[in-house]
This record gives sequence, structure tokens and C-alpha cells, in this order.
Amino acid sequence: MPVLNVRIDHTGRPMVELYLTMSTTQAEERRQSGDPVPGLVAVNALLDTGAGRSQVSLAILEALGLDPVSDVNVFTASTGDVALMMDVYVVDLASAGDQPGPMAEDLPVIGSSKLSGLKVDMLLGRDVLDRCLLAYDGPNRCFSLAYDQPAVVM
Amino acid sequence: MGLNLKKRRRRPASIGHPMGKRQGKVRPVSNLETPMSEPALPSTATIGPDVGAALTLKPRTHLGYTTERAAYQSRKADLLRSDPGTFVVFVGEAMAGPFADFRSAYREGLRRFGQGPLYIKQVLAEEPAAESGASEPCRS
Repeated sequence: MPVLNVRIDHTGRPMVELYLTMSTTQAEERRQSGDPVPGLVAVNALLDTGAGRSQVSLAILEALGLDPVSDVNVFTASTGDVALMMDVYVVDLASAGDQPGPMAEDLPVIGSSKLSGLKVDMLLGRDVLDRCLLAYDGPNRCFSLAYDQPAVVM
Repeated sequence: MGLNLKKRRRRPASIGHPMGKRQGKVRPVSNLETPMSEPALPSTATIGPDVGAALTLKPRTHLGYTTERAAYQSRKADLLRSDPGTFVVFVGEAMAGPFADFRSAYREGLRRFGQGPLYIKQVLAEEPAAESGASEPCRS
């Protein structure tokens, strides 16, 4: 089981560098039809146990040339009781750094235009974290994240 | 464990993928007569002929889900009776499914409808909502 050491940024948030790319399934379809398959995009992800589903910046999803596959109601702190309808995309997720490797295939994520205020590219939510072991060493201010092989979520 | 370098080297350089082995069968895209390689669940709601109406392999652009939402709502009551909890895919008014899980719906949706937006829904009486998680702007 790979273990990532999660860095703490200067505001105390647990951040991890990940790679995103087009889903395995869509990449195969594109290759079959002779269309180019986009490469990887490195993202700074915030580990967020308060997010039920992972979110990715719309700018990154558009850079990968992805189309939405669904939509979902999302409750945010700023909208109170009113849910926002947000589009869902499918990506593949891999760890970066000194232990690169696949983390999830065909992972549905919510496309968000609201992440720039957080200065992150992605919120890594419980849909992924539920498949991982997350340890927080408070006194030493470090996290570690152990994960199993590619997980299909949802 | 970690990255499988042998598998990685087999990938084309232009892809440069650290994802390791990519799973799934390679399937023809464009043959509309090809039977589904991942059979849908048996259902009275499975749609036949009207799927063909949306089966164009030309790139489709995302213009919102107005048509798909309406199509799903019009069939939702029947689907809830016949196949609750399953997944269906809409493109325009055409539906494929139901499927047992999201991944099957996604794969078959791409295979049938080609590249472009899909509208995959789990057949549930109430739409689940997601929590957005972090919302505090970075102070830096």
C-alpha cells in the first residue's frame, strides 16, 4: 500500500500533489477514433474530510478537454440552504512526488469554479479518502495518506 | 508498492501516464449495430429504437442538460418502479440502460453515444446532494 507524506502548507492545510488526466475509458475511446489523448495535469489538492465528493477546478477540467457526464446538487457554506447545481466530470487520479502511481480510475468529480479563492486546484473528498488511511500527527504537524490500488467510486 | 515502471514504459511517450496499467477492453466505437459488450440489466424501461436517434459520433457540445433532465423526469416514475438504484444514461431524449453501477453506465454511454457530454443518473426517488467541503478562502 503506497503511503504519501502530506505536506502542511503555511496556513496549516494538508496539501498533496496529484496528477489528473482523462479517464481510462474515455482515453481508450479517443485512441480508437484516432483523437489525441491529453497528457497529465499536476494539481495541488487539499485533503478535505468535509467534502463528500472530490472537486476539481473547472479550468483544469476544460484544459483536459473533458465533457460533463452528470450534474449534482451541492450545498456550500455561502449558499446556505440553497443547493447549487454543478456539473460532474470523470477523471483518472494518480499520486505524484516520490511515489507516483494510480489512485483512482473513472472517478466522478464535481467541476467547481470556486476553488481559486482557496488557492487549490482540487478538494480531495471522502469519495477518495474513504478508500485511504489518513493519519494526522498533530504535534509534529504532518499527515500521511496510505491508499490502495485504483478504486472505482460511486 | 508504487509506480510500475515496466507498465509505464509501454505507454506512448505522448501520453506520459503514471497511471500504471489502464484497464478495460478496447472496443469498436462506431458500429451502432454492435451489441452491448456490457449487458444492461433486464428492464421494462430499457429503450431500444430511440437510442439510435442520438447515436451520432460527431462531437457534441454541452449546451446544458435541459432536454436530458426533462427526459429523465418523464421516465423517472417508471424507472423507480422497475429498476430503482440502477444507473441510466441520457443524450437528448435517448436513454441507455439501466446499468448496475456508474462505471458501466459511463463506459456504455461513451461507447453508444461517442465523445461528448452524457447525462448519467442513478434512479433514486430523491436526488442526493453533496457537501462542498472547504469554503474558507485562503488567508495568504
